[in-house]
Amino acid sequence: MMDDCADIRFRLALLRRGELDETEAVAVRAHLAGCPDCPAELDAERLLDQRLSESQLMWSAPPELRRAVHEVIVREGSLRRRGWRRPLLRTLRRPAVAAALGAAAVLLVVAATSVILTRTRQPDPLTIPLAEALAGHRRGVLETELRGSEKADVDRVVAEIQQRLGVPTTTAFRGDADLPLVAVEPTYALGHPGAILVFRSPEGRLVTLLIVRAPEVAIPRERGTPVGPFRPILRRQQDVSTALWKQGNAVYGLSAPVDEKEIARLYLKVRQGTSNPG
Amino acid sequence: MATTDFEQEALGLLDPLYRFARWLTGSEVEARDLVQDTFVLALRSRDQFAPGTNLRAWLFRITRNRFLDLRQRRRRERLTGPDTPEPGEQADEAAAFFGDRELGRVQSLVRGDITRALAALPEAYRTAIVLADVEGWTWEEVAAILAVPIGTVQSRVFRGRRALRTLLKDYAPR
Repeated sequence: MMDDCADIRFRLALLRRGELDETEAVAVRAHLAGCPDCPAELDAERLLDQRLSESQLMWSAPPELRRAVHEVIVREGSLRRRGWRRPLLRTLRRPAVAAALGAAAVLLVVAATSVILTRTRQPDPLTIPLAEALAGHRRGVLETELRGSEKADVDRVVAEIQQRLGVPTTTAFRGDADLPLVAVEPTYALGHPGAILVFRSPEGRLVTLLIVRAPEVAIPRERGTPVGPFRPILRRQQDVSTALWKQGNAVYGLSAPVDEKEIARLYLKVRQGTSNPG
Repeated sequence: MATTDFEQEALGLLDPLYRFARWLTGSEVEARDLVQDTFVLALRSRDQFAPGTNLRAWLFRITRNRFLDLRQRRRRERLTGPDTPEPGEQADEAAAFFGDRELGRVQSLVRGDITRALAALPEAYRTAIVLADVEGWTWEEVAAILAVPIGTVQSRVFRGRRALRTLLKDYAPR
């Protein structure tokens, strides 16, 4: 082993991640070209990378955990709202405060209003469907990038998911020349089996369509944005825009790393290519 | 950050949080409990989260801290010695993690399986590798979760990977 091999090997991690500046990268590559030992070290590290990346695919949150976390969110939201009333009630109980204010009637009105508002406030029905659409997008992109897919296989899986899980994949938009369907994955969302269809845009972006037959989930049309004759919910979450809508008994979430104008354009294409599920 | 934004973003991280919890605990049941605990703790202390900062790093830090708390509590309850001694920063080979005699035993348990090999590493090294190399986080993010300097993260990844390769080396690649 050459004298500077130990230092080079520490830098191989940075080289593999593309984090060395050009000068350092040139120096490391020059060393690799002349060293009898370090190229094998780089190969071994790359093999380890490959095995680590394969290990990542094994686990996604099980459906029962998803349900449990949804329940936690609803329960904690409810506790939080109740907790907000305590300081106000404590304040009202202090005689000095009550006397100083001398306007108990006003406070009562305020307190009553706050209680009414608190009691009538329900969890936003869009929270969980939008989160599921984003999670589905992340999963679809990850699996497509790591696994890839063959077109013939995609068509078979689309049909199989419809047949075996009852998810309306065959009535959904199946891609066109500008937005070909490149992968499909079964999933579990909103407490039901579902599917993630993955399309590739001409710019190379992956666009995902989450489909779940969820009759009990309501997507309030009045909160939507007019896009052509339709009113989907359009929402930006992190770097991803989502169009959410319901057709028949199924919920659809179209997501892509684009702005809201572009997701509206993609939505119109996908919505017009999706017939109502039977 | 509005209520729904916070919850939506947190829910969008459910899969990576679960994967991380699986790596930490090595058990599906414990991972589920750990992720639920994470959401409860995060929602109860959400006011401490500064909007605009890294929610992902904040949630992962909660997950890891909760895991370490539970492990510490379990150790105290058992009143036995630590289950896996944490190596010092000088350790740079698998033998230094496990001891020469222990290494052979661990290798036979691992039998070329990358998941088992990772699980056999001390937590600090396993976490650094999982976050930096499996989940693809930046050094800065991993350093923020582990509350150590970036150089320490890089060193743990480097040494942890050497130990992994030692554990796997007598077996076929897959």
